[in-house]
Amino acid sequence: MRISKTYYYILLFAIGFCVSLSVPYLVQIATYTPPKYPLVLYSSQLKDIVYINYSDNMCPMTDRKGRKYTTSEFDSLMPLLNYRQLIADGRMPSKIGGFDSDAKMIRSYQTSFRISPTRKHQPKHVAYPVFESIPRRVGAINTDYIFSLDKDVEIYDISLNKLDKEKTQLLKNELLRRNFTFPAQWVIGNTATKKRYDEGYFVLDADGKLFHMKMVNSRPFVRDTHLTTNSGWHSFHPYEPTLHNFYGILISNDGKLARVNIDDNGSYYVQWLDIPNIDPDIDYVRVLGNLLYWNVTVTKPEGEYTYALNAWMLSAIDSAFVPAKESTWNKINKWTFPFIIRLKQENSLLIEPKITDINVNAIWVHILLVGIYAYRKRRHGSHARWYAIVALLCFGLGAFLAIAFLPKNDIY
Amino acid sequence: MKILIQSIFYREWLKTRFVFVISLVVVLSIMLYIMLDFAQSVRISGVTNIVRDIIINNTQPLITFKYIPTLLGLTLAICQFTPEMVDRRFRLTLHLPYKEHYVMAALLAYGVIVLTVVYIVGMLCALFLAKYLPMVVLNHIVFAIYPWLICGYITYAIVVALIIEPSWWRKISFVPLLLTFDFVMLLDCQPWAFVNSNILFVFAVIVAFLTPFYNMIRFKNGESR
Repeated sequence: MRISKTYYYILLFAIGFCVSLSVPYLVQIATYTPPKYPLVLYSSQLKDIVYINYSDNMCPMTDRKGRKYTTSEFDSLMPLLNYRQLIADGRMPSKIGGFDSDAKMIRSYQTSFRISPTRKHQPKHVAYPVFESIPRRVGAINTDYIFSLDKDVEIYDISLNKLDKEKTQLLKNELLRRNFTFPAQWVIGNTATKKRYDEGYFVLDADGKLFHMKMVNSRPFVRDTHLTTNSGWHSFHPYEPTLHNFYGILISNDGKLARVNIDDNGSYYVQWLDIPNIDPDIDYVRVLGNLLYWNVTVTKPEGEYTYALNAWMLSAIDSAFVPAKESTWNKINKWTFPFIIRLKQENSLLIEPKITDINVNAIWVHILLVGIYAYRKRRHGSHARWYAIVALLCFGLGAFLAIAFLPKNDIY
Repeated sequence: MKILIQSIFYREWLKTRFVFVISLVVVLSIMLYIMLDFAQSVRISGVTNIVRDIIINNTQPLITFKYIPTLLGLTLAICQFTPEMVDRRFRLTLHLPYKEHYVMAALLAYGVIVLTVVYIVGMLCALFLAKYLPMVVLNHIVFAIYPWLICGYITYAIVVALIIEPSWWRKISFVPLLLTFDFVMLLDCQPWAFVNSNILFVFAVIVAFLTPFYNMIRFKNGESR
C-alpha cells in the first residue's frame, strides 16, 4: 500500500513548525537577561536629571556629568523623594520649590503608577465589581454586586446569586438616556479593594464616545465625558490619588498620553503630557510624580526614555535616554534564527502565534542546512527533494530533524 | 459499514471497559474534590471574595482538572492499542474486509467517543458551581477549559501513532509534536487567553489525527526502519 505523500508533507511541516517553536524559546531562556536601567529622576535642587542606583550603598546618585553623590548628599538633593529621611535627620528644608515642606502635603502629591500594554491585550473580563463611590464607612469598599457590560448590561447580586433586575433597569435607562451605544469596546477601572474611594469605570462605547460610570449612594452615575481625539482612544489607565485631583491617563490610538481631570463645574478635560508619542501596544510607561515634577519613563525595545515634566502644567523640562545593553540572546539571535514564531508576546496576556525578530542575515543557517541535506543525498546516490528544500528554508533546524527522523522518502 | 463499526466498537469496549469505568471514577473524584474545596473556600472567605477573585484576577476554580484530560487520553491510547501491538496483532485488524482507513477511523472514533463521554460527565459535575456563581461567570470558567479537553484528544491521537509506529527509532520524530502541542495547550495563562488562536487548535487536531493513519500505513507495509 502506497503511503500518501500528503501525509508526509503535512507531518514534515508540522514537526518542523513545532521544533521551530521550541528551539528559539529554549535558547532564549538559556541566554536572555532583561536589561537593567538605573532610576532616572529630576532633582529639584540640582535642576538636572540624575541617575539613582540603590545597589550602590555608598554613592547611590550620579549626575549627568558623572559626578557621584554620597547617601547623605543624595537625601538632600532629592528632598521630595527622601523627605522621611530628612525629617528623621532634622535636615528638611523649610521650603521646596516655593511650597512649605509639609510632610503630609508632600505625601499626598506623591504619584506612582505603571502603564502596561497588557491592559489592552488580555482576555476580556466577563464582569466587574460595582463599588460604592462614596462609602459611608471608611475603607468599606467591599461590594456584593458585579456587572457585565457588553452587548447589554446586567447587574448581579452575588450574595443571593441572582440578577438584580431593578438595578439593571436603572443602569440601562441611565446609559440609554446618556446616548450610550452598545456594545462597549472596553471597560476599565481600578478593581482593587484597598483604597479610600472608588471612581468607577471609564467605558468606550461602540461609537468611540468615552463615558464615566460609577455607583453613588446606590444609584447609577453615568456621564458622557465629551473627551475626543482625532485618532480615537486606545485605552485608559485609572489612578485614584488621595487628593482626587485626576482620574488617570488616557492614551490615544496614535500614542499621545493625557491626564484626565475634572473642573469645578463637573466637566471633564484633558492635559496632554508633553512627551513624544509612544507605541501603546509595545511601550511600558512609568510615572513617578511629586509636588513639583512628573518623571515619565517610557521603556521601548531600544532603551528607556525619561521625561521630566512640570507636575501642574505637564510641560517638558528635561529628558534623558539610557540605551538597552545588548544581551547574549540578542547577539545569538541576530545570526542564528531568521525569524521566531512566538505564541506569547511580552506586551500581551493572549496566546497568539506571531512571527517576530526577523533577521535576514540569519538565513545562512537555513541555506547551510539545505547544502548539508543535498550533499548527503548525493552521497547516497539520490537527489534532493523539493519539499525538503522548502521545509529546510522555512523551518531550518526543525525541518532538518524532521527529515532525519521521519521515514526515508526514497520509497515513494 | 454498520457491522464494521458495531464489531469494532464492541471489541474495543471489551478491551477498555475497565479503563472507561476507572476514568469516570477519576473524573468524578476530581470534580467532587473541586466541589468540596470550592464550598469550603466560600464558607471561609465568602462568596463575594471568591467571585471577585475569579472576575478580577482570572483565577480558575477548575484548575485541578487541568492535566486530567491529557492523562485520560494517554491512558486510553495505551490500553486500547498496546494489546494490538503484542505479536503485531494489529495486522489482523487491518486485514478485515474493509479499507484500512475506515478501520483506523472506527478505532479512533471509539476513543474520541469514550473521551467525550468522560469529559461531558466532568463538565456536568462542574455545573454545581451554579449554586454560587451567576451564569455569566459560570459559563466563563467552564467553557474556558476547552484547550485542556482538546489537548486530551490530541494526546490520544499522537500516542496511538507512537504505539503503532513500527520502528522504535522513528517514534522519536513524533515526540516533539506531542510535547509542543501539550506544552502550548497546557500553558499557564488566563482563561480564554487562546480566544484569538482557535486556528491553532484546528491545525493541531488535523495533524494529530493524521499521524495514526500515516503510521498505520507504514505498519501495514511492513516498514521497520
